Amino acid sequence: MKKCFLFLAFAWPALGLAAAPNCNTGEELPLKLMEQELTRSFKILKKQNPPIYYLSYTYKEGENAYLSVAYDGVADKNVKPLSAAEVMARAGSTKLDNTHALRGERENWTLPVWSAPVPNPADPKGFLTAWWQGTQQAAENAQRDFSRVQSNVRSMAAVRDQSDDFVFPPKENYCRTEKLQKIDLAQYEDMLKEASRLARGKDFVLDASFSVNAEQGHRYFADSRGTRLKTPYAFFRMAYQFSGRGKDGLEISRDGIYDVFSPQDFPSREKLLADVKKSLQELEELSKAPEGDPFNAPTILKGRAAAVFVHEVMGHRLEGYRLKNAEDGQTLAGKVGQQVISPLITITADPTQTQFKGEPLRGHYEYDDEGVKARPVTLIENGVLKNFLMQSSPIEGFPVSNGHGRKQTGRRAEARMSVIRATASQTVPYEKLEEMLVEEIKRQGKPYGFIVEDLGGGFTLTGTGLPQSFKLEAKRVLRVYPDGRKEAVRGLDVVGTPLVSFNKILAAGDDDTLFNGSCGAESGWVPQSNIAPSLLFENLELEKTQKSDFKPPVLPAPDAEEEGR
Amino acid sequence: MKKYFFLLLICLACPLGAAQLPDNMYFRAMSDEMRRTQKELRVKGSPRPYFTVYKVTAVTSQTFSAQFGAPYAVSEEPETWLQAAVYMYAGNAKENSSGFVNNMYYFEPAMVSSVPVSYEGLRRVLWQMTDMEYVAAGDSYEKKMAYKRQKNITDDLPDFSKAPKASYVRDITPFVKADGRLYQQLVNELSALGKKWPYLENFGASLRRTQQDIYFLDSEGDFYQYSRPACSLRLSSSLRNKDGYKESLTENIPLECFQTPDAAELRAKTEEFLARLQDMYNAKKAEPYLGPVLLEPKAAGGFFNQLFVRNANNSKPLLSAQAETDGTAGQFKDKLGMRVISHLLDVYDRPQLREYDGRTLPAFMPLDDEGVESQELQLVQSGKLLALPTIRSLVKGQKQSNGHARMSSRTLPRAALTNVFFTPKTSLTQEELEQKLLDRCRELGLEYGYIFPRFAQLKDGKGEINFAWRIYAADGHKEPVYGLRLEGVTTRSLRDVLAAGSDEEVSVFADNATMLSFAVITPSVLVDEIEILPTQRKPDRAPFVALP
Repeated sequence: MKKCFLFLAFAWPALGLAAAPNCNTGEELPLKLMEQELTRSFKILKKQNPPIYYLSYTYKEGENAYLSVAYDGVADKNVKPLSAAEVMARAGSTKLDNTHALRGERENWTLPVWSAPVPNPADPKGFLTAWWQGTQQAAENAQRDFSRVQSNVRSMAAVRDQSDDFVFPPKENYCRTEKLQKIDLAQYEDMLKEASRLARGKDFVLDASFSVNAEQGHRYFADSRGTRLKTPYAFFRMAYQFSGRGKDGLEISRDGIYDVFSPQDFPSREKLLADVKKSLQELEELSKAPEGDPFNAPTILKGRAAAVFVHEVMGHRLEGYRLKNAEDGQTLAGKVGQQVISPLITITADPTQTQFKGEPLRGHYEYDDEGVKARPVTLIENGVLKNFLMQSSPIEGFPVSNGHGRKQTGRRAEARMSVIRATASQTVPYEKLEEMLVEEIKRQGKPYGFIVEDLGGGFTLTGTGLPQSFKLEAKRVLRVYPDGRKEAVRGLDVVGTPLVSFNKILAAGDDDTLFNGSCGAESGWVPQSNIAPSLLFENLELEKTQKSDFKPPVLPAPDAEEEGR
Repeated sequence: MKKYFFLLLICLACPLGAAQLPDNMYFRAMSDEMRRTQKELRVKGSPRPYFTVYKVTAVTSQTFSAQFGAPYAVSEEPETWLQAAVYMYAGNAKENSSGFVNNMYYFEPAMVSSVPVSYEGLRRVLWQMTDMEYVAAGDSYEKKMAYKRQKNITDDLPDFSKAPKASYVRDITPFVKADGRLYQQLVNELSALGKKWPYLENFGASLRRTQQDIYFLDSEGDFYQYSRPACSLRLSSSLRNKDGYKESLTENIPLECFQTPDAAELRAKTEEFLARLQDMYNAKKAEPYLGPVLLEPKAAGGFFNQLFVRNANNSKPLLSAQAETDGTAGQFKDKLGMRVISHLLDVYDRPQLREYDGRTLPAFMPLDDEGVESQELQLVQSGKLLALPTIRSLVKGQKQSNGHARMSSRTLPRAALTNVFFTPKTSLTQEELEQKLLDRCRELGLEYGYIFPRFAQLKDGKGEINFAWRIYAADGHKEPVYGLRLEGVTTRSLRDVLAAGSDEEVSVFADNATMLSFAVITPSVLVDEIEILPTQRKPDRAPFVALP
């Protein structure tokens, strides 16, 4: 109980548990100036031909601090202030506008929105001129793109989903300020250097890196419908990674990631050193492990690996805008109300959640990048498809946004994942799940099955031009024999297709685990969180991973040679 | 013990009175890894490392920027980073991998741009890059030999010539952090001067102070160490002129590094720049023209840089199985002894010159990137090409390198000029030059001639200039002109220089392909014939909304 109390006390400032407005948008200088220029411009732009019917301004003001250490030395250390503006203009009408997917033209989804660094708002002339420039450019681009859209729509075959291109987001007014947390990078230098020295003399380590990253600040948003927002953001991460390469060119790696609410919550020196030692042991074990063979067998995706699996394999297919893109595979189109995956599983998205078991959720936000209030969504309930992740671009049957329009600065928002969570209606302790795996291996008469302990990431193909498949980079795989013996193997990736593999889930553990990461897709890189229990599959296919063309270096590492002597 | 033995060997090899290998972390890491490389790096059946270079650069930089008086957010501390580059030739002096590339567009050294700042970190990076370079050099060696057999290339020239040991060491003074408040206030003030010109869509000032500390060691024991400072104020602007054309103009004003800038002088230069913007706003569109053009020093610098310097560089073409010809090789490689430029000019290259006319020269190079002491060259006498920059990979008729191998993150060491001086035999005053231009116009029956303050970026002899002066033959009055499209400007134009001024200036150019910097020092020159056509760009509509 005490521990819990302490945690809350520490977490309060950054967690935003209060998450209540504590300022007035009308008194925020950047917002006042943005409103002034936006109102002045929109009055004229809406009368143009074609009209600019919607205009939004986003301004990010904050600080990025980064420290990178390797081999007892600092590779990078900087604290950079951030001051960036972004203008989104929509030309045409909500029915058809410049954001409409251009068919037969691949560049459509990478079309940027105007964005640039801007000077300090304390001097209004420089600040306002930057917005004026951005607005002019964004409006010109929107009109140009709209004419291309009109021509494209006339000449291309009709699409199945004829929904409008945009629905006006509801008017919002919200203001919350958080004091930026002080981060003294120098204080982590010694600790990371000490950790980096643990890799000294280890001939199986080719590269090692340690980092501390802090991104914090405020996002201001104003649009032509009257929405005015100021929201804080803060991400603090300490991480390390080791990699190696076998004589056969196979690359191996281990890593550690600590996402925290406040720099004070970074792991202690003792904890970091202990974790690093464990990772080095695992890397050494992997460096000696045999290469695995492609095989289809009963498999457990453990904790973090299951979270990545849910994200890649099902999460991307629940992003609503894909359903109106004729070039997308639309795996789940027309399946609302139908059983699409194992009835054991429910999948939700809830960006309003701030933490999971004391760890911050990187996918949390209060308002999405289109100014729509974040809200929880049940996407799949007991295997039945219920909903999609929605931005302010309707799809058939889903006319409004549910607060998932997200993007990287400089890109156009698309429906993206936030905090994705898979839960199981029935769970068993993890140890029991392993027993069930062995039983399943025996039942199927397989020589062995797999436990995938860690996935590093992966990709999923959703376009119609390629198979609707996924490939996930397995970082640590154990072969499990019918007698329960385990053996680490290298060089295998998890592959498959979504509907088949998700229907092969037999059981789930009670060990829900968080994987915080960043996901790159059409609208750029966005921070995300994925939570899932360990999952037992009747079978999953593992195939060989891509090898490097290069051998390890001819000479041993200088420090390894010194150790050898 | 072995480490000390190696250091001793290096020092014994140095010429009498030469500098000692400095005792710092960079050289300790470089020499320790170099020793291992030369002694132990072998793969059975592959050629051995023959010549290896390590170059480490510690960069520190501070920038202050503002637009219309409003500051951009900047870091309080200077940015610092450590880069390391490695290249290697495998084989032997007679036959090695030098000069052969797999790809004619990308031939870079192994490079890491954020090296951990520690002995161990630098050693690890050098170790990995050396290994990569060894693999690449072995591959190039085999392919080069096969290519030479296929093309029946049997010259007797060694692939890599001998060179005397050389070294150059200057103490490294730590970067002096600027008074942030003072510098920020200055750029705020300078950029605020643009507020009074209502047609300016953007006006910014950015002051940058940079110091590169460079450490070089090769496998023959050549080494150098020195700092290269660079400080400048950049003014940038954009506007829509009276006819609706979007135009932009930038000006780099060099600053005395690590001295407090003279605010009054910079204000005056900013006002001059703003006056040019005013002229640009009111300028008339160019019309077709064929006749003499007076190039002011910066324009002459651009003209000579593109037509002379580029063609004097890379005198030995690269070999590659991918392409029969090397498009990067300069055109002058076959023109030694021929007239390549007006007889009025002599041309020199002075790599050992660190400063000129109070300005730091970015191409200063005491030793080149093959460890050879750089030599001053007289490239041209009375228009005739006497010499070209060379490296240790020889061309026919050449006995040794003249120390002009230059390397960057984008290119392996290749022959390149540095600080190039265009010196007229006789020089005229500005008034005399303008008069000569007008006389020539009258002689040709032209109503007017042109004066270019800047030159175009040429591609295949074509390029655009967004601002120039038209000067009328009748009364010498001038009017600003925009939208000049140049046609047919080739090396032929170098021979059309009719006269030169006495207003010599230093201009610095960075080559986009190689990232190498060149200084061109030249006065104004009068070129007899340049063809100008009006731009084919279209004007833009007026902004939807008036400036705030």
